[in-house]
Amino acid sequence: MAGLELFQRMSVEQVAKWLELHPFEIVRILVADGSLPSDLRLDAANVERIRAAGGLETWWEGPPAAVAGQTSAQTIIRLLLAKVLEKDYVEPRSVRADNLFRGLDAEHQRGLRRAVNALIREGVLVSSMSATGLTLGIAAARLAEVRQFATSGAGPVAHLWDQE
Amino acid sequence: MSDVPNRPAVIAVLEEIAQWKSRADAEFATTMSDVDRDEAAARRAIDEAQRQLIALAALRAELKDKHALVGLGAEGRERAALREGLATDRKAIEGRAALLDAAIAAQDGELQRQLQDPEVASAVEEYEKFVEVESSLAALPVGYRKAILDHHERVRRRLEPVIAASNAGPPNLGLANVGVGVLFAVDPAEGPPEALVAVLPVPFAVCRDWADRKEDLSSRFAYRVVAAVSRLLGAVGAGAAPIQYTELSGCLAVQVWLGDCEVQGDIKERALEEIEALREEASELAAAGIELYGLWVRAAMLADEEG
Repeated sequence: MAGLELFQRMSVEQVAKWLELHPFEIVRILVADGSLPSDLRLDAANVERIRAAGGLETWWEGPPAAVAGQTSAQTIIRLLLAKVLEKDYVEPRSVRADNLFRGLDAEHQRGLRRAVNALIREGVLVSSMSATGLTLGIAAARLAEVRQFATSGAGPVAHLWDQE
Repeated sequence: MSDVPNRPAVIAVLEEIAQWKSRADAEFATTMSDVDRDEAAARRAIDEAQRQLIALAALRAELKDKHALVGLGAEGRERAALREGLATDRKAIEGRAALLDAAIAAQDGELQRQLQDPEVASAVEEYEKFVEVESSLAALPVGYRKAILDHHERVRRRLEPVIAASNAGPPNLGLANVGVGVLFAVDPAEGPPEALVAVLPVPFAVCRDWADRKEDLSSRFAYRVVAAVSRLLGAVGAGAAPIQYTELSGCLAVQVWLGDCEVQGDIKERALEEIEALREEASELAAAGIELYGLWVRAAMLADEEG
């Protein structure tokens, strides 16, 4: 038989784990939205507000299948950059950095974070801090290179993260 | 000579002049001697006064050095007192957290026992089945769906006392209130602030290890202060200011970069208002007998001690 959790609203920690977001981010988004419950207990409507007001997106449903002739890292970074292009997050537009990893398991998240960090260092991605944390976008000057790599897997971007 | 008759008168005059000069010379010698003596005395007095000035200058420097040490000592003591205060407050919150968790567990245990009642258990089972199929109800014919929803509403009403109790606030521990402080500082102290920091008497682990530790009173204390800081930033026109969470003496510090914002209004006054509002709102702190205060201190008091 179900326990009390059937009736209880969720804690900030539970929602944070569910949305793969830091609890403090949950609080900040709800404060900015003016919808933080005074008892810090959250329901489904609060969760939807967090997703909408915080611009939360889930880009992955688990790790992608490997593509023949490509390493797992190449596949995943290529797919990621294709998604960023598709959503048109090109400078000056940017996306929450944590959206890039949401839906992947911890191991693939680690690998992808390393690659993304390398792309930031190489100036392929530009990062900035905002009230909602780190945001990323493709550097306008590197758009052609990113497009080339996303479509063909070739070009200068192809091995940048291998320098890690 | 004066008895010599018929001396020329000029001799007498010359003699008189000579006597006058002799008297003047003698008088001069006496006076000069007095002047020399007085001058010597004055020089000795000047030398003495100079020696005193030098001694006073040395004493002044010594006193200044000593006073500077007193200032440093006071600063060090103040810094230590703030850290000790944080540690004491942190211990108080952690102590009350353990008591509150036990009280909540007891409250939940009692509610769980109520759920074992056969009549309630049957309603819970129906409620649970409804939750499982709720998302698929839209596909059902309207009449059928309405019947299910009506029935669920009756079940929900039967369970209302349990539902309300399970979402009620934490039980009041009935303990005497203990005051704890959140330390605030802005840098620079005067003029437009470039940085704001709030140090909370909770372990930094509530931020760093949140996924591995159970949410407790310290966590909720941190949520409250993060919410208060967020509201504060919105109120002073710095809603977009970036926030970082760092560790200070084992405690959580919320750091805000305000250098790229134009802060409007009195940030210090608004911060204390937010803390006051938080005291009214935070039922879990009230239940645990934690009374929250905001305290403004100099930024230097919260700086790292290294170096």
